Amino acid sequence: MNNILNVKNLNVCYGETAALKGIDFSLPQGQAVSFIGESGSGKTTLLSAIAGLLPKGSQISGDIEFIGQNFYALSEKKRRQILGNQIGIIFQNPELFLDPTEKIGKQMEDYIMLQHHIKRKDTHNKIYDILNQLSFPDVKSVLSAYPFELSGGMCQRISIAMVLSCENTKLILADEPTSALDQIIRSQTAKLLVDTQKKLQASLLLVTHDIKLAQDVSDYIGVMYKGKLIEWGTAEEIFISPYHDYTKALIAASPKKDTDFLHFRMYDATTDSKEFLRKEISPGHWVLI
Amino acid sequence: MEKTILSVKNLSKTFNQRNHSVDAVNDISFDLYKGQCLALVGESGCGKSTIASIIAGFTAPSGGCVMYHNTQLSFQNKSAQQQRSTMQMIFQNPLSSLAPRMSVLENMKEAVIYHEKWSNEKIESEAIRHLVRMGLSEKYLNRYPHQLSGGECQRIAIAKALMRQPDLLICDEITSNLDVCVQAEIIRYLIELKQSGISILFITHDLSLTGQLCDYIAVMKNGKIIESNRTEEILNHPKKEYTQTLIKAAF
Repeated sequence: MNNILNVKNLNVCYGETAALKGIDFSLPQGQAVSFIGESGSGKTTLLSAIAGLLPKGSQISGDIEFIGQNFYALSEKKRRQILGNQIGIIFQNPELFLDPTEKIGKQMEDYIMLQHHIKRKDTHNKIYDILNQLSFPDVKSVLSAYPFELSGGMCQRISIAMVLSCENTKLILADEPTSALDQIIRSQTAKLLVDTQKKLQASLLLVTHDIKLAQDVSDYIGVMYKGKLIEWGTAEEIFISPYHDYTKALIAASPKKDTDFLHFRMYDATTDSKEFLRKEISPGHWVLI
Repeated sequence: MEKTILSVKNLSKTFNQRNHSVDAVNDISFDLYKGQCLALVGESGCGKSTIASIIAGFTAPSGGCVMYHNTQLSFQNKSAQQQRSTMQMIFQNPLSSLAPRMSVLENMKEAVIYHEKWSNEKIESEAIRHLVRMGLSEKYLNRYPHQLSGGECQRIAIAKALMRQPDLLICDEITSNLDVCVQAEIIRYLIELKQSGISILFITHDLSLTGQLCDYIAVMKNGKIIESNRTEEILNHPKKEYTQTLIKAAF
């Protein structure tokens, strides 16, 4: 299977703070990976680095290969062409992604015109097609609404619809896409995300601290801790036989119906100066120890 | 017999908008007992937070009443504040209840200076006592909210609420912004507070958090309580289809 994304020895520093330390992984085409970890572990920095959206002044080293080409060796213009066209991004807060002063219909038209280089009048059929595919209840009223008139879940579905509108999408980056949503909408959105990914035959890179969401959508799991990718494996390997103590603590802290999730042992260790060794647990499942 | 601390009777709230009205809360009744925790669970927009803001006195109801320590709560400015002096509310975003330009100590001081005539020493010692209760130390007193993580901010927001010795805490989605480890920690602290006799109204959309903390659960949908019972009953033998869907989504 071809890899859509290869990340090699990626380091990111904000001033003197190292946010990512030597990240290595590959994402095969059509597969979904979730990066899990607590707040501040570097998950969002990793996603921003892949999307080329790091804040100004941050130092980045290492390689990010997207479909065989070094992403950071491309010109800014070329990168911008890839973003939104071949790489779709779904943000945590959909209201920030949508312009509050424009109606949803106008925003979707603009997005599709830009991505497909077609005229405004030709966008209508496409918009209706996509929203019907996503089972929007009343497409006409959604399109004539402003973002503030829709619920958080509905806005998030609109941002997923925009990604879906672009058939060239090879990689979907999603940053905590369900953290602003309630449980029922969360599972609907998770399903929509997977359906969208399958429909586009794209790869999905999801960043979340919601263990259940990661379990629901992923083929692979990467566990982040203090800027390091400390464990990597298939979803089954990580959730059924986690190896690293931190991964065990993280999974134990996730609420469960019949077991005590409150008395997990908090993991604390430094990742600063220690030399890490990569230990292969089984083919494709490794940990840093 | 368990002592009722809060009793909500036939509460309703209608919001009138330009060309239509919305029944956010529709004929809701429940009791909360001393030292117990009641969860109000339901999807976004079902009226959970409206109930919290009525109990806390931020919004007046359209119908029904709220009894707190057997006294009917008023919604007139001055008496409303006095009646609710032993009730505290904690919000989803802890940064919204901490002033950004005040240190933790100054923030905690704010909670009492308008109500108590405490000396600075007493305020500081009380602040330290409540910080320690929430697993923090006195070194946090001089920090500012932006220097704290989300979990630390939320624990300080709870410590600030404890400054007034409340017997009722209204927690409105207080763990929604936090990651699983911090979330579990906060629930642990809430259990300790409950064991010390504080009653908790725990508002959440996540049923998975209620199992170890809450004694009772009331499931809400479209402004109504559709099912309420002891926690074990709701989680293990839900009667309504909607409750079953919520449980399926949560675990």
